[in-house]
Amino acid sequence: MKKEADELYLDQAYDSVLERIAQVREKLSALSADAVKLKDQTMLWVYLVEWLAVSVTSLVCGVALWTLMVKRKVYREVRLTRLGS
Amino acid sequence: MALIVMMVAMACQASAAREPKRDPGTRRVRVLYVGDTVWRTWRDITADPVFSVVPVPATLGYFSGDALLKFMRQYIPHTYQTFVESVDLLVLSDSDRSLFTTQQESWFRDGVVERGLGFVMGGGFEAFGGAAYGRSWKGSATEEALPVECMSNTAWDIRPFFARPAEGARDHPFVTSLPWDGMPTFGGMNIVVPKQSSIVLLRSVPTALGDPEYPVLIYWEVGKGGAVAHTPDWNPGWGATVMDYWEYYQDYIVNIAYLASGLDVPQELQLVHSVRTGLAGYALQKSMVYRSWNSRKASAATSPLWRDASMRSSP
Repeated sequence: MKKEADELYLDQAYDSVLERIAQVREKLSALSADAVKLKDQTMLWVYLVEWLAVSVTSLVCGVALWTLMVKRKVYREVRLTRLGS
Repeated sequence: MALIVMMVAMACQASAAREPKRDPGTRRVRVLYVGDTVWRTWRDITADPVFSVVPVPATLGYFSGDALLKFMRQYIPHTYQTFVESVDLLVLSDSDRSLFTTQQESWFRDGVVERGLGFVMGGGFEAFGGAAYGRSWKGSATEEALPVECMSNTAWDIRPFFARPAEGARDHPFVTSLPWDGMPTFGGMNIVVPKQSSIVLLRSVPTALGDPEYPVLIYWEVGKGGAVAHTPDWNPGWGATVMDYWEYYQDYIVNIAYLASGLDVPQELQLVHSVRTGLAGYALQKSMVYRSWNSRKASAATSPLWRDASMRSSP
């Protein structure tokens, strides 16, 4: 379409060039809108995966921290040392 | 030699109207734009579908020595034959003479006189007699193709002025193609002496009483070709205000290219201006849409390489 417009310009058919350029720019605008839409859809998944990864990591770390440091589930107190006995 | 060239030139000038030189395949005028490529001027010419531009960075004021030598080696044609077969319009925009060989200087003259090239020299510290960093063009073979005589030293005037139609040129197609009243001032110009058979199209109108008047835009047809001398810089520094604030700047630059190429300068001002504005808008819009996912092609389109017409992609 742009090539057509260029050829028309070379023939000095300026009115026709204006029409063609308006059509091309309309298509470019539609293409631009599609690109933005596609980008938004892609970024939604990117953000979702990022959010899930961060959330799951926080959860696992939190559970481990709570279990080991607060509840002391695997903590065993040393009763005697060899020196004490 | 110079005398013979001049006589041949004047004889040819009296003959029939000039045939514009173009690429026979694409009908485009192939422009070799050598000089200060850091500004939008060459892009404004590129936006017009009549022209296919190869920009070559070549000013001592903007680029370093090694880079310049590389650009000249890579992008200036290596033989006279290649030069005249691949270039229809040569633009030397504020480009210093010391960057070119004596042989190249002769090619530029011969290309215009013998092979019908168009030639434009744009002003600045490195153009005409403005030897700010290197050498004046005075005495060069290239000067013989110019419609003006250059001065031998740093000949410029940096007082602001308006460029307005010269007496006797008001009916010239270039002059009638643009509205001059709104054109802002230039900040300076090279001082030159128009040659006898040249036409002064624009002259300076000083902004202060007592300032001298100079020729601003001078044209002639020489041999089979034509040449234009634009004595102010057409982009920053001296042309900054015109470039940034004049609505018809692109039309001005492109019409100069039409004039030098021997093409008919379009007279339908508003229509052509709308078309060119639309084309420039398209180029900007396209670069924004495409650049993100096609950076390779975008960078090729802006690099100073020889570009084939087929590289102009379209949606």
